[in-house]
Amino acid sequence: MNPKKTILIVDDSRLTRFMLKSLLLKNYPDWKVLDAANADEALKIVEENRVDFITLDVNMPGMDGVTLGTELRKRFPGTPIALLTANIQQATQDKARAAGLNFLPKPLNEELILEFVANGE
Amino acid sequence: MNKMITLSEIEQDAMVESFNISVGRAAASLSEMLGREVILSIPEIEILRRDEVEKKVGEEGKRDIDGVCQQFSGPFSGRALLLFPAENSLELVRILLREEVDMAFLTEMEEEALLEVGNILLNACLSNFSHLLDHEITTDIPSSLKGSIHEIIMRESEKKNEDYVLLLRMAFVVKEADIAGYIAFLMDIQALDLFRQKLAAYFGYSYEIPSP
Repeated sequence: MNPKKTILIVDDSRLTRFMLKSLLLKNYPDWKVLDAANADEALKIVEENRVDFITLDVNMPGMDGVTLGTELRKRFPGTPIALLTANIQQATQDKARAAGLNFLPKPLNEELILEFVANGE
Repeated sequence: MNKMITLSEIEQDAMVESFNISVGRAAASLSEMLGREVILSIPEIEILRRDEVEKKVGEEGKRDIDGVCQQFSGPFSGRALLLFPAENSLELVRILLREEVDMAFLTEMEEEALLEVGNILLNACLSNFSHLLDHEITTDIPSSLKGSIHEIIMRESEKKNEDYVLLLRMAFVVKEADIAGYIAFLMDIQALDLFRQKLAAYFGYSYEIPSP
């Protein structure tokens, strides 16, 4: 049985937040799923909550996901953090790797998302 | 008035092939999102001056459209548009969510859902161009569009003074659902020349940027 965990979804798309939250709660009904529409909201949430996993969109109003990921990686060196983006170019995947982040492509792929979570548990 | 641009046979082939691959990748993403087969038509590509658009899109161009615009920059810059007939968009959202949700929620999510569909499709298409042309293409946050195909193209191309429209009419039809959409690219003449030059380099035929 998985102990309860908390995951933070950062994405300006409400649809993606809704679909990813549904996917996670289907597989981990006891988990706490937090969500933020931008970097400011995300930074406030991580100040106030213990977060075990984080997914980050890249193109968001304000700070982009790569910059936010780099900042979060410094603050939380052991937390699994993934870029979750439609920008599937090699250059974006290289930026994720350089920042110490995992890379998950959009559209949402249940198998890859569960693998990201399982590897981080 | 800007000159007409006619593509040579080899350029036409190169564009069709590159868009076939790129939109094919986008269609695979759409199919994955919807859990349905997506059938693509053979691409029809034309480079049109703004004043030629109305005549070319004809009656079809007067239909109401829900669209998504994605600005891109890299070796060449412009805007990519995804255009759906407005009456299809709610059905698209319903299939996308794959669960029973009430009509109020569907309607509430409609614009957000279309933006995300556009984001994923246009990024898949542009990412493939990035791979083909071996150059990063950066994209901005997508924005939503409303109007007829003709109105949208004219309004959007005037905003940035883009003289030419690379009109890619490649219908994608979602099987077992009455949904079809189109993709168009808006570029100015410099961007268009660079795009043609990059394609020529990739496919290995000669192309010189025309003198003004």
